[in-house]
Amino acid sequence: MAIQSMDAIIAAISAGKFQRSDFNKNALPTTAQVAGQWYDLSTGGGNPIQSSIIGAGTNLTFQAISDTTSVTATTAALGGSIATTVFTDTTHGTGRFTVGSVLTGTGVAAGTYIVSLGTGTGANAGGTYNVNISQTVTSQTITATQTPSGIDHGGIVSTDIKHIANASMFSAAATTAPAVMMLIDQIAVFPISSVTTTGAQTMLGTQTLPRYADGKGVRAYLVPSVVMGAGTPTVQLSYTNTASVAGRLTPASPSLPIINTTAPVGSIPYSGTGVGKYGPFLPLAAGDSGILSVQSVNFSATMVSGCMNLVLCRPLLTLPITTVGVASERDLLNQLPSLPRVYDGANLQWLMYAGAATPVNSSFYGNLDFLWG
Amino acid sequence: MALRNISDLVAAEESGRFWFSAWRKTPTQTTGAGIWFDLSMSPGNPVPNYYAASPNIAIALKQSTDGGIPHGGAVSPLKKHLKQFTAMTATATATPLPMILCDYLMFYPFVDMSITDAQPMDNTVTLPRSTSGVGVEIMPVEVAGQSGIGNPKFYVQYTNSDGVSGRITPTVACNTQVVNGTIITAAPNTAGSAGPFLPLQPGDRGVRSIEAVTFLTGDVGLISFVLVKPVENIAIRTIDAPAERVPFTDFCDLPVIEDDAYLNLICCPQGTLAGAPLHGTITTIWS
Repeated sequence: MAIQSMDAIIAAISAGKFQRSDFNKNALPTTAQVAGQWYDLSTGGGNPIQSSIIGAGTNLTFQAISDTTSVTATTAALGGSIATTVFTDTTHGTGRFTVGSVLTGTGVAAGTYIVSLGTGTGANAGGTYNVNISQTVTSQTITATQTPSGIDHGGIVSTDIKHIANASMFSAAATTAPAVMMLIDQIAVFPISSVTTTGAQTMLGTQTLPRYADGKGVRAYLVPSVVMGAGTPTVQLSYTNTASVAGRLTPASPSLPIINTTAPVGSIPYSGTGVGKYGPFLPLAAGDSGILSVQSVNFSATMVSGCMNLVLCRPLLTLPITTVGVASERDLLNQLPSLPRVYDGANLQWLMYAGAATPVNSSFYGNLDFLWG
Repeated sequence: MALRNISDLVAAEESGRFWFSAWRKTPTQTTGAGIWFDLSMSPGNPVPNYYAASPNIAIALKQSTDGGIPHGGAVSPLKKHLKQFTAMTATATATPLPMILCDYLMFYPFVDMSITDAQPMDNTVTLPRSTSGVGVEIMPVEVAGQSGIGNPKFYVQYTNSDGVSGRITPTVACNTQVVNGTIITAAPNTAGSAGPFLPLQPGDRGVRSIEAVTFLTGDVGLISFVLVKPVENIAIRTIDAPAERVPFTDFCDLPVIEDDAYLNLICCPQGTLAGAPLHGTITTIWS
C-alpha cells in the first residue's frame, strides 16, 4: 500500500492511520548556543528527554539506532553507590555512562537517572554523576539503561508506508530567532573516546544500517557527549559510498573540517564561520550521495579530553524559525510537496542552526503529524 | 461510515452533517511570556472550568456534562472531524499567540505541592475517550498559586497506553509563574522545563492513568493534572486578520473529534493576556 491520492489521505485518516506528536525540546543545558553554529538537540532536555545513547557503547564501535534500541553500562560488582544526588562509579564495569541513563540496582529508587556529569566521563573509575532523586544506595553493581528517546511517530506500520504530513515549531524564549531546525533520522553512532589519538582510527563492529540500507542520503556529523578539550584538529573520514566504493575521503580542499576551540556537549564542533567550518554534516567526496559505512576517522591532533561521537543520519526536512513567538508551520503535501517518508524504527531528532546567541535551556515547542497508508 | 474521499466531504456538508461554533475567552490573569496557559479556566464562552472536585480522585470531562466548545453532539456510528478552525484578537500585546485545541479527557484535582511523599491517585474513573491512552498527554495546571522559589521538581508515576503500570516520567521543574491556569512545567529558559506536556518514560506513546505524583521539593500551591489529547494547532500572528486553518486543504490532516469530547484551548503568550479578548470558531463535519 501507499498514499497515492488526496482521497487515500482522507481514507487513511478516517481509518486511524494518523499520529500527532507534540514535543518540546530544550537548547543545550550548560552553554549558550553561538550564532552561526549547529547543535544536536537530541542531547538537550525537555520532551522527549535527552538521548542517552549518544556517548554510550564501546569506543569506535558501530551502534545501530532504532526507536526501541536499548544498551547498557554497568559498574563492577560492589563498584557503584549513590549518596544523596551523586552516583559514584567507583570501579567501572562495562559500557559508558551518559546523561539520561536510567539507573537500576538493589535499593535504587525507580525513575533514577543521570541528569548531568560530575567528574565522570563515561567510563573512568571514580567518576561521579548527578542524579535526579536523592537517596542512599550502598556499594553494588549499578546498571544504566540507555535509549535514544526520539519523537514518537506512531510505531510500526509495515506494510503501510508512513509519511510526515505537517511540521510546526516555535520558541517564545528571547533571542532564539532566527533559527533553522532540521529533522533527522539518527541511524547509528560510533562513540570516540580515544580523542587524544592522532592518525586514522579504524571503526569497529559490523556495520549494517538499520534503515536506508543502501546508504543513499545518509550523512555523518560529529557531536561531543563530554565537553572536548582545547585541541583544534582537522577531521577526515574514510568511508564507503553508496556505490560500495571504499576509501572515500572527506575532501581536503578547500579545507578539512576544523574542530572549534570550544566544543560543548551537543555542539556540532566544525560548524560556524570561516575556514574549515561546515555544517551540519561532514562534506562528502565529490560525486558521492551518501555513506554506506565508515572505515576510519582521523583527527590531526589531540583534543586533550572529552568524548566525540560520529553519528550517521538521514535528514528529512527543515523548518525555519523567523520570529520569536511566531510558529513556523509546514504542510508537506500542499505547501511543500514532499511527504518525507518515515521508516519503521526511525529515531527522529532535531538539529538546530542558531541564527542568534541562544540562551541555555531555551524551549522549542512543536508538533509533527504522521500518516500512513 | 467514515470519510473516504473529497466527495464524501462535500456530501457531508450538503447533507447538513456539519456544526459551527464560536468561542471567546478573556483571561483575567497576568500570564507570562513563553509560559503556556490553560484558557479553559478563563471567563468567556464556553464558561470556565475550575477543576473543582475531590483531591486526587480522577474526574472525567465531557461536553454533555461539563461544556467546553460545542462540536455538534454525538454522531456515532459516524465519525466527526475538525473541518475549520479560526482565532483572532484585536489586542496587539496578545500577539503572536500559538494555541492548541485539546480534548480534555480527565483530571486529578488539587494535588498538593507541599507534600514530598508519593501522593497516590484514585482511578475509579477511567478515560472516557481515547481509552487506550495512545497520544494522551499529562498537562499540569496550577489551580492555587505556588511560590515557584527554587523551581520545585516532581515526577509522575503512570500507566502507559499499553497498560503497563509503574512507568515514571523524567523529573521536571516548575516555573515561577503564580497565577491560576499556568501550565506549571512550561518556561522559556528553565532547566528541567518540559513545555505544556510532560515527557514520558522512553518508549511510551501515551498515558492511560496517573498512579502517583511525587514532589522532590515542596512548595505552597495546588496543581490539577489533566489528561488531554491535542487536536489541532493555530497561531494568531497579528491583529490585522484572523488566523484561519482549514485542516485538510491548508494542512494535511483532519483531526478526529470523539463523541462527548470536551474541547478547550491552551496558548503560549508573549506577555500578559489579562483583559485581552480572544475569539474564534470551529467547524466540524461528520460522515
